[in-house]
Amino acid sequence: MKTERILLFIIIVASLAMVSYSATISASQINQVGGTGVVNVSKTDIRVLSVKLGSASFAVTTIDVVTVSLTSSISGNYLIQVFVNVGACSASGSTTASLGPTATTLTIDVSPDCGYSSQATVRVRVTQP
Amino acid sequence: MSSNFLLAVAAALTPTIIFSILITVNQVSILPNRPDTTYIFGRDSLSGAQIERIQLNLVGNNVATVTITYWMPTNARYQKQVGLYDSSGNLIAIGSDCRQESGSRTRTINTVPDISVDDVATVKACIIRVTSCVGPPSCL
Repeated sequence: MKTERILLFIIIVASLAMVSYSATISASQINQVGGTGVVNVSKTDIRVLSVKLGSASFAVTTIDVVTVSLTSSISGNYLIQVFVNVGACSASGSTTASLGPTATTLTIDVSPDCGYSSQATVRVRVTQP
Repeated sequence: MSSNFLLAVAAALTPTIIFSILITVNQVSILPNRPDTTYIFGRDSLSGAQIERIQLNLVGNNVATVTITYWMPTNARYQKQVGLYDSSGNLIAIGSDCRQESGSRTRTINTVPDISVDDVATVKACIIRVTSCVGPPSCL
């Protein structure tokens, strides 16, 4: 009889803990994805802290590489893509890298090369590979 | 209450325990808060002056200053401006610097107000040759 009571107590405590745990996870996941209730999602803060055009030290005439510095609040492997637009020229490049809270600097080749003749727009996209 | 009944209850709880573990494992899947960040580098086609590097400098999570590297082919007065925009395209912080100089320079510009770096979707820096540093910003 004593054994049965101990077993019953363990089951009740475990059940209450699981209910509380499941409710917490469900609430946080819904908040993270904007209330859609999708599971399997966790949020991380990706920060692109600096971008440099070209391989030349100064007086850049051609954008053949883009150097970016990034951090991520959650360490892991990420796909980093850069999209360059200068006038009618569009170029892109990508690499995979391990990012974490400490800034990581990456030099990414872009193709084709774009002449730096007018305003240049660089879009940096970070996703999971 | 028999031991068999309690064992049956425990067996029924087992799938729930396994499910909870799977949810925990799946939670490490990563969704970046904002997949794209855009940097816009201004170039003054009349003077040939251009922005070549932009760096956000943080104090905590806030952008306090922006460091830019720029190139000026001739000795003249140049207005440099930095604008930070949110994901809706609203200008949420701004800074500027104006002086006479030439060649390659790196300067740090204060931006006001201090804003969270996570609110910044687009960073724009521009440079334009001006005859006088007195006057409103003009190249953003």
